[in-house]
Amino acid sequence: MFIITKFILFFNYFCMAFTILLSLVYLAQLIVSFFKIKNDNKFKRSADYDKYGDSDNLLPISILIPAYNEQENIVHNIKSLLNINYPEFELIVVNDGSTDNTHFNVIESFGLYKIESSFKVSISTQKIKGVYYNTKYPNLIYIDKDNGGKSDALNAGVNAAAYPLFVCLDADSRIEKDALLRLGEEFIKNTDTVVTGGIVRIANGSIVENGVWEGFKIPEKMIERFQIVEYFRSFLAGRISWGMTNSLLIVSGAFGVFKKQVVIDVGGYKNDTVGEDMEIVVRIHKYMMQNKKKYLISFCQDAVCWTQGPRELNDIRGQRRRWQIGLMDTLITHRSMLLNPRYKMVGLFAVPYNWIFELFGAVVEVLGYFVIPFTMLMGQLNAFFFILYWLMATMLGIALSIGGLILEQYMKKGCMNAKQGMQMSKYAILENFGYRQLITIFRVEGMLKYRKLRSTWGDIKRREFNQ
Amino acid sequence: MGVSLLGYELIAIILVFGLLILICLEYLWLYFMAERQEEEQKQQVQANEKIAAMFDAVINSPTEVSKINESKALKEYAQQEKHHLDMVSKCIIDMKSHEDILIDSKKKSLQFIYETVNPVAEYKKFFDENNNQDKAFACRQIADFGAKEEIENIAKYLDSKSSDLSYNAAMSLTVLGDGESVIKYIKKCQNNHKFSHRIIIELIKRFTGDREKLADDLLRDGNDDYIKATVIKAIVAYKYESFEDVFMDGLESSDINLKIACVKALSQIGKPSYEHTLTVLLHDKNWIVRASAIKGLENIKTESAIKAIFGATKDDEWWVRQAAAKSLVNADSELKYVESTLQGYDKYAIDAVKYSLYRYIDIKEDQE
Repeated sequence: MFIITKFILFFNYFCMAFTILLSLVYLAQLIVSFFKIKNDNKFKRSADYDKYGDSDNLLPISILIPAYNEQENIVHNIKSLLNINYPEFELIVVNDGSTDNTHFNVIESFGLYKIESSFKVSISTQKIKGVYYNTKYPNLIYIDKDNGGKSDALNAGVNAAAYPLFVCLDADSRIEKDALLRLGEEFIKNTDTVVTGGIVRIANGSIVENGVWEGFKIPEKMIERFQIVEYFRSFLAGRISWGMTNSLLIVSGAFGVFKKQVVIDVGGYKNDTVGEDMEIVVRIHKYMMQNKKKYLISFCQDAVCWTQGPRELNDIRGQRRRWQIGLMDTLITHRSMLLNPRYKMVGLFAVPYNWIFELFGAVVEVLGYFVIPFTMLMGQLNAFFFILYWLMATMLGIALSIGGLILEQYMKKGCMNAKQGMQMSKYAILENFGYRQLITIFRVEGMLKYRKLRSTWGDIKRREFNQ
Repeated sequence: MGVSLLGYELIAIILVFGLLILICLEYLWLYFMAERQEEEQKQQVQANEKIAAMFDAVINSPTEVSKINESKALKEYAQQEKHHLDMVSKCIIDMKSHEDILIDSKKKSLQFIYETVNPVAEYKKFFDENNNQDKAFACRQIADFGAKEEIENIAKYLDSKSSDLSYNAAMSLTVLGDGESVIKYIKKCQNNHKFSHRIIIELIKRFTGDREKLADDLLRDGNDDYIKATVIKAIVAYKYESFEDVFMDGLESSDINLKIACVKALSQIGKPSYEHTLTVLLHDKNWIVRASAIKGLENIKTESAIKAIFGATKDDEWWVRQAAAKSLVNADSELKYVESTLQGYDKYAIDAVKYSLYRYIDIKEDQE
């Protein structure tokens, strides 16, 4: 009994220390990102990106849009992408066996007709049913294929891509006009760049006209507001700081540019996973280091993509379970990289960080939610100490969330003005009282259902952007 | 309890208060950012309106005296803030770029504004400050005003330890057409291949002086194949026949990038006399060389060139077949070889040609 009590007490302290440590790590990332942005801001005045709009120097790019049951958004998205600011590009829409009107809507809207295709099959995919084209839209290629999942659709797109770079975009996302230009410039600034990712922001409530994001508006639902704060807190600082050391493990599936040949060399996107975006990046790290090739995986915080965040709690639950399963699957698949000096920063820091803080961190946190109050109720834990711990953990959470909002404003590419930032800051406080805990529980649920759900996307509800 | 209060709990209390202060500071920061942002936006709008009104006042001034006074006011306004200067400069540059559609009196007024505000002198002041980013921006602005008399002042930054400043200085000098400095900078780039590709292409593209001479100096003096290949790539579009010998020599190079660049350059020029050379290159072991040679044969368009392209539709490499099919569809106006391919037995060649026909000819309209 004494040993059990001691163990429980030890576990309590461990949970507390872990939570504080995790927050401190995030805080460190926030500070590092702040300095990175400060430095980047200095160069913006003489930066060349806006002069690159008509430059032959930019590598041509294939824009891949995997679409599964995207009847609400797909046509608007294609129209907005056909007007993107980039000198040379092609748009490849891959219909992954949609069961709704996606196929019909695209064919009708653009007057496409079936052509005989001749693609080099570098990566095997499900059967291609047809390739559609219209010379009036010379940049647009539409591929209709049997359902095989997002990865399979992306692989089909990679096969069809004629250009050396490709960007994968979600059909329910919108990129800002200059976003691709900024990402394309990353490959010019450093020719070792093989992957670069942009920032994804929540578009719920925002004004979108003709498929183009026009302005930020605070969304109606509290759950959508929490996600906005969460995206700034979790993604912005984390990705900037990991990108600085070439150890970024994830480039958002909704918005990332890849060197096509590298993706073909590593065998394309993995099919039986829901975390294909992270998996491909980790595999590229592994492949490049194993083959002793110089490479860079970068993050460009100025390239912005807008996406629809879930509006219902149940949809968030599904999304977060999927993300956690994707993370777990990738880490297990590439477990040989863990603490392996062969993989340098990635093996020694980024992968262990993801194992400890992103994967097991959620478990420790959830166990803490139950064990700590239980221990306190049993009279084994000093209540005063517990309250102090709770205050400290909550305040660190609030400091991080507000820090994320400041970082967003500091970028000078903020979607919202600072006044809206002030308004959003109350959600930076409120999210620490229930929302964050709930999200962590969903993540753990994902881990528990790993075997069952590891290759299932589930139903994702799509809705049209506010026009 | 007393002991622990002096221990961990005291530390925790201090940390909690520390965090509380941090959150308050963050809030204050956000608040002041909001205030400042709003103020800046207002100022920006006001500045835009004011500058537009001041330009208008100078251009439409009824008397010479009012013109002088309004111009002086504009100069004072530009001197107040860095961004005022940037905005005034942008207006001048924008108007100068449309000078050909301005009537004479407006042209004169614009010139008068330029001389009074003297943005070049204002930007030159940044050279005395200790901020490399401002210096870099000043170089670019001065170049946009075409101030060739500042070449010497800008050229001294080519050796700056700040890569951003030296790059912007080089870009400015290329806009001002100073070949000597640009060559010096490109040669310096040889030690940093990571950046040279981008820089060389941009510098050559934006060079306003004698581009052919610049390329000549770079190609004939240098012995770095990487730089040569990049320079050739940058001048391909200009079809300089004077480098024919350099391109021909490059075909013998062991550096594959140089060889590819030379094939592309010859293909772009597309002189009938290259036909034999390009046909031989269709058998090169590197598929990019083969695909590039096809483009040249497409430009030559003789019967034998088209026949050679027809042969390339049967290449082992998918990309070469596609390039050949596309060129065949474009060059074979009588569709003799296109039909011959379609009636043949090579499935891959047929697929490639069919795909090109669909992509580059509006089959649907033809059917209708």
